[in-house]
Amino acid sequence: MTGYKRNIILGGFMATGKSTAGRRLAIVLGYDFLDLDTLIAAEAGMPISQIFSAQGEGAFRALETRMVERVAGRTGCVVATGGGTIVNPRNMEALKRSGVVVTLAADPETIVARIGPTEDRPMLWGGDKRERVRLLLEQRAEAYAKADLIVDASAHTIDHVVNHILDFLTLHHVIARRTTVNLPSMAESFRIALGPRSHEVIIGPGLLGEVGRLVKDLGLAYTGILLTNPDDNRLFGERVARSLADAGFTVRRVELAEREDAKGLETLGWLYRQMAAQRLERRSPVFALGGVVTGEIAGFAAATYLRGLPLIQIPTSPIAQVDTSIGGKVAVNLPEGKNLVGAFYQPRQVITDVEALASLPIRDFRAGLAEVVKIAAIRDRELFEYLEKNVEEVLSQDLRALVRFVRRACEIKASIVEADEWETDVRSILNFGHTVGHAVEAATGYRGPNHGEAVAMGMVVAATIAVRRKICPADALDRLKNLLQAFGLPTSLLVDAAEVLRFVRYDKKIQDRQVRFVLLHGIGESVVTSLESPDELEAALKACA
Amino acid sequence: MDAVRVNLKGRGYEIFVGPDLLRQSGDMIRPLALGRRLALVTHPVLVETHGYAPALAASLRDAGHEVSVVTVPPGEESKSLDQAACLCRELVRVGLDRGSAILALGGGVIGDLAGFVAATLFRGISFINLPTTLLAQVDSSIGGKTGVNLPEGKNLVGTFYQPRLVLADVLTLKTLPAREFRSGLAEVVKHAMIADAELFGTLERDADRVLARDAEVLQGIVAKNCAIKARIVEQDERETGVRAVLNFGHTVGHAVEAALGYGAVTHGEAVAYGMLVATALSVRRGLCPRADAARLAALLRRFALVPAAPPSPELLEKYMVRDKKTRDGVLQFVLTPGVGNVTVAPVSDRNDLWEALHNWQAYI
Repeated sequence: MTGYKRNIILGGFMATGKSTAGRRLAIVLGYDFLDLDTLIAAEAGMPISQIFSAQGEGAFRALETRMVERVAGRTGCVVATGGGTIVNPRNMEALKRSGVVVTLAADPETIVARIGPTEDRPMLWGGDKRERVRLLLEQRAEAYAKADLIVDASAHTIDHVVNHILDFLTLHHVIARRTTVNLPSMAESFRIALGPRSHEVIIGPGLLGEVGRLVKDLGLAYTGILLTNPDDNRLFGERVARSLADAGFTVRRVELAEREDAKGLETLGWLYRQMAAQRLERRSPVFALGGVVTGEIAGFAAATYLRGLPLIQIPTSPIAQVDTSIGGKVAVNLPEGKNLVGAFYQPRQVITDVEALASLPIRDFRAGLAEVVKIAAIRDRELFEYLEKNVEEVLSQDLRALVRFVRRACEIKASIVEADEWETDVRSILNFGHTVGHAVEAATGYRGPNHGEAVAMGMVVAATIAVRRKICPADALDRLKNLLQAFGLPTSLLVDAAEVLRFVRYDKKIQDRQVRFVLLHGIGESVVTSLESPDELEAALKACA
Repeated sequence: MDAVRVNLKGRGYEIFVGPDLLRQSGDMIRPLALGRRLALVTHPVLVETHGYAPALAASLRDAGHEVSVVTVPPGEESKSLDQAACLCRELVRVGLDRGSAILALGGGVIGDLAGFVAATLFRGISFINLPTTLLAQVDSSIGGKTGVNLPEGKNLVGTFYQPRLVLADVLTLKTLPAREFRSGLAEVVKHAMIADAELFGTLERDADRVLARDAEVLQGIVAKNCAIKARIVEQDERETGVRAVLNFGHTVGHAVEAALGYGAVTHGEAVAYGMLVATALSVRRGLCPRADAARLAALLRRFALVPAAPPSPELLEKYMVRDKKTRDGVLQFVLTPGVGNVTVAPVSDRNDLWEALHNWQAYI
């Protein structure tokens, strides 16, 4: 065997599990994972569906072939292609030259059952979903059959599919030796040192099915409550609940809406009633399975029910994983403003399964990247450089890349929280981009840019102020913009500057009527300061319009 | 004026006990370097009838603060999530921010409610407690417990949140309705029972002066009680162990209140009944001499604290099962080996409890 690592390419129809299997395969082999459609969308700066509707299928296929050539030029990658990619003989040829092509096959019934709404699946547009699937499968059958290996993915679990591929690769000497899938063993952990509130953060793939085992030594009571939301419950609820049941816990599952407007006192009151109905006692655990909203409201309920129950955060969204699950900030909204009622309440453990991210719409994933860029920009040049060099792996949600940057972002945040748990000074550097970001969200009634997009705009504005003050080199602003752009995040203010300015004044970071601002000194360095004058902000807002 | 220091790592604070402290409050809070804007949460009667709130507000304004006075209706019903929400919203509307402080002027209801609001508004702002009832001065203002009730039970929602300062003005005790004053005496007796045989003796000896609300005697007793409670809280801020001794009489007491409906008996009467049952249980287990039980009963009778018509044992048992102090479903009970001493023990034998609830008088 040479050291040369041939690529592993997964082709086949949509919804056969190419990306999920590909990610696991990559982490087991130590390869990089690339998701062709994600890369195409990032390159085009718009979702696939939009490329179809704006430019037609022809334009998309041309882009696709260019991208195939690019990934075929790399080595040591697992590539998940789009459903139609290997149908084009030219693509198939290029991919076969670079490695082994595997088709994941499934019967039409399984595929139809796995496909959700079709807005993001342009090939199914026009006509009955079932009929379209049957027709496309027929058309593509011959092309799919030309792969080096065909694996039936309908009746088998992802792990089974992965093992089958690994067996084949070993047999044909593509890989040196057979490795087995044991995702949870790839988890990493670190400890947040906060005296009696110290706790562990565990980050890795495949952890949702291990929650029961991971919390076993925390001294929890065996009756608890699992707070989640309809989406996370549907995707992960059963897996988490089963692992808790296996570990001896009796847990009531309660769904809340994962929406900011549901994070109010009314929902909270209802939640308390559910907790009372479950007869929770002081050591009863509260498991928060979901995104930012679930974590914050469940966290506040845990902080205040019986004056504080043990809280286990199981974040599933990018922002929750890289940001809000660390540091113990929990809160609910008042009609007068966001997060006005809350607490600093540390969880007993954070269990972060990075595989959960792969189930998300790409726009939400990118929103999380904005927070990762933020933390790198204010505190960690090394992480910033890692992101710059690994844009493709990050966007493709390569599991090793996820573990790496999620862990690093969490660790940096943890170090800041350790220095200032109650946000009296240094912790406020985490608000980089947030003063303007919150104002952008509020000015658009929380229906415009999402949190990550708003923060991206805010970071550009804050960096612009720093450059104008000449405390930050212009090069740092350029690098920030380039990285945000590569991740498909906005780099200019898409909202009226006057409106934003008006909302900045409502922000609660106003202390004694002065607007506090986090500014960059350069990549990886930041400082908290006051605005010299309101004009300074206005000028920067206009410069970023 | 007496001063009691509560030593908690990073959150230590002072309790001052004395006459006419409200009028000196502006000067007394100066070392805390609070923000300019303060909110004073109180009951209408303390504004209109007794004039305590205006006197306090004037002193704060003299010290350069902007003061918003917000009133809450009296009674346990105000300790609700709805009321906390209203209060939060109002305080945001009058312009409080993270640097502001909340002052609570009133009894336990005001202190628990305003404390909960201070603990959670903007994730926690400075809190100053100015208790005006005996119960609040000797008990609820010390230790940082805040909370509101749910329909399912009392204090189910709350936090541990320490005030920056407590000012107990003993002159405010003069205007307290007699029944409410006596209610506070139950906690005084409780503190003496669990930790201070000497204080118990003082109460027996000075019962008349206490009931006449002699300011000098009251200042001494309040300060002594604050110190007892402070020493216990210091050992166990978050009630994971030793602090549970403060629940002497409360397991049954809370059930009495819940069973009769809040307000039908005073908290003190309920706790007095609870102490008698707990002591009966202690005597029954051979833990406590009958003579000590008799002294307790006599003192409680002297303070007119024994309820005439307690709820049925069946009803009480039902409410006790919901108590927070269960551990894996087993009720934790504070028992006494005699005046000045307590111990925490599980009560797993329902017969034991049943007998004490039915026949407590037989053991005292």
